[in-house]
Amino acid sequence: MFRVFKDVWTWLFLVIVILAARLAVIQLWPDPRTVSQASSQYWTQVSISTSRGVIRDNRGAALAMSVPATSLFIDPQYWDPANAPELKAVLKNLVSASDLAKFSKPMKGRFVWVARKISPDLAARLLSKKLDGLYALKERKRVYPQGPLLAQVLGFCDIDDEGLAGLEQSWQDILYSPPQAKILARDASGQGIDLMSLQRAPKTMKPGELVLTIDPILQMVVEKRLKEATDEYKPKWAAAVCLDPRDGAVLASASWPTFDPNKRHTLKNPLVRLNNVIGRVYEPGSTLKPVIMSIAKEQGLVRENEYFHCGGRIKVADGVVTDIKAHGGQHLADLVVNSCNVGMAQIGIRFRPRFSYDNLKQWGFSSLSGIELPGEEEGLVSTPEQWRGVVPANIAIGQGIGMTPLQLITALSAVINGGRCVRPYIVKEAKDGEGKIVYRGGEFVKNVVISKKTSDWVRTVMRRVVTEGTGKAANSPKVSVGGKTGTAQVAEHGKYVKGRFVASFVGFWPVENPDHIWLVVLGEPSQKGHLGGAIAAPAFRAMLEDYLVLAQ
Amino acid sequence: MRAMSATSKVRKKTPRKNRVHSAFAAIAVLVGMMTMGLAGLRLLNMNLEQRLTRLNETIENYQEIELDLKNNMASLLSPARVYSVASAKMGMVSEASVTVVSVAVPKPSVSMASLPVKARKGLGELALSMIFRKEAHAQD
Repeated sequence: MFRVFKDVWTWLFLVIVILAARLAVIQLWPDPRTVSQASSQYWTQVSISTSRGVIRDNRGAALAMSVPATSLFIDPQYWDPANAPELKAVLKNLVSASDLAKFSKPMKGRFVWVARKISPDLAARLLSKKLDGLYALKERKRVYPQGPLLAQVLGFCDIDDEGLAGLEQSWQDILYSPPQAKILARDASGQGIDLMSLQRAPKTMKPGELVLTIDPILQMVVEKRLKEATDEYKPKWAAAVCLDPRDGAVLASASWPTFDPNKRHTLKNPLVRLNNVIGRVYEPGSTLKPVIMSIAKEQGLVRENEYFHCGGRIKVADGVVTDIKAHGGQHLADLVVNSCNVGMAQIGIRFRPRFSYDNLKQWGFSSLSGIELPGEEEGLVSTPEQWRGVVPANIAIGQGIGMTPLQLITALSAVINGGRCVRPYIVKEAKDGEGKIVYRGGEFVKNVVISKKTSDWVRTVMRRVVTEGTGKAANSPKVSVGGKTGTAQVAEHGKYVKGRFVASFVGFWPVENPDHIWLVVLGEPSQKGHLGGAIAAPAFRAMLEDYLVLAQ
Repeated sequence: MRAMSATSKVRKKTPRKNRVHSAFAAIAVLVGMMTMGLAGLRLLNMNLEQRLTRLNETIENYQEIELDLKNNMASLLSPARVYSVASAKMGMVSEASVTVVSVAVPKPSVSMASLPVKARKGLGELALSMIFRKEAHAQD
């Protein structure tokens, strides 16, 4: 029996059997440390940013979308610090002096970013140099194809595609798709090879899509003309907003100063990030008079044939309300047509505080409008206890009450649309990743605040403002326009400051059945005039006439 | 007799051994063929997988190109760009600043029937020349 052990082949066989057994043990039940080391040596997991959803205007054109970009990183284990100047030579400003110093020395760890989301062409130029330890990752970069158009509404994202402002922030759940983790094999030089993309690729969540109510042509016209007005009158801030008064759809929304979300350095100034349409509370001045007149008429506080006298100033309790001039005898409608403060103050003092306060709340003042945008301000209406002395008279002329341009235009929409106070909306529909509509914006009537009869009457009065009153500069022969001018004083530390005004004009067309209402506001203009009828009304007319030509 | 039985034993053992050897050989060949077949299939699988990976890469590249093109198209169709190109490069001006000049064409004051034949022919030529002038003007 032991004779077999004298045979060399037997020993060889036994050695092979032992080796095979050991190999099987190592292969089938490997040591966890070995597994870990092997995995890190042969496999690498990288995070790939996926596309964010597209935001479109009401004609289907993309306002925000994601495009391919390349990010470069260094694996210090393979990186040769002597190659650092090559990075600088190609990437130029994308590599700072401190980065260059860092890459010129041996680094710790296995992953150091060089540049994020650069153009694939630029990355290809650098990668063609085949620098050891320099690798590329495919990512997606958020771009805004129409540049600064609608910037404050769209908002912007951070480098990892998380929405930080505007619709990008408030609709993050719909637009965002979590980054995908990708497993790559490493070749001998450490370069990642995508071998796992077939069977083991994780199922990614597709991002959704937003369709807005924004009319791109109107938006362009409004932004262009608003910019021209700001260049001419040098205000501190400006805003313009256009609504369909029938259902509250926001057709255009512009805020100045503005920024280009494609250029990050333009975001430095915090003022540019403020959307004046929803985030700026101001005293509207005379543009509020149609609302006050509607309330007074609806409540029976005034009669159509009533006659007022304007001597240029009126003392009300502890204060004085003044006018630009003495208007003399004024019929009720003339108070709006000529923007008579004295006459409106006389109406204001007839208001019953509690009832009128509640009424103003019903019009949407001092409460959020409900638009699908973040950063909206509520505005400010004095409580009934504060309606003493000159306060009601001030409110009647649009002072002593704070609101956003959006709140004002929403209320004025109710004035001209038959009395329906509608909720403004800017998102027409939102779709999830599967294309299913998860939200649909549309008409939502919050309150009916005045009768159709009152609405029709105020609308005709507002037509007269443009044909024979303070808003003549807004009149256009091409379409029948109605409107109201406003020149409000600016308060600071409880007092109105001399020489600081907010000029505005609200206009609508066609008067018979309005389908557009636009508000233009120039905050604290510093040159060439300050009256709403002189600087805001012409801007409105320029917008209107441009739009009528271009929309055809 | 004893010698005969020994020979028959040998004869009996030899075919069984051969059969076993043949069976082992067949199994070995079968296993070898199966192994080779498996290896071949595995190679084919790897080859197909590589081709699929390349196809996927191609699809991904085309998708990226498509995204880039969509972005370019959105930029090119931007109303602001269209407006600036139309006004700055193509000379588009607002309707209000366009002056339209209309030229009144004089009408013959005498009746054709009351004129002599020669004069009638002359007037006909005049009218024809007016028509031509009008048409030429229209082409301007």
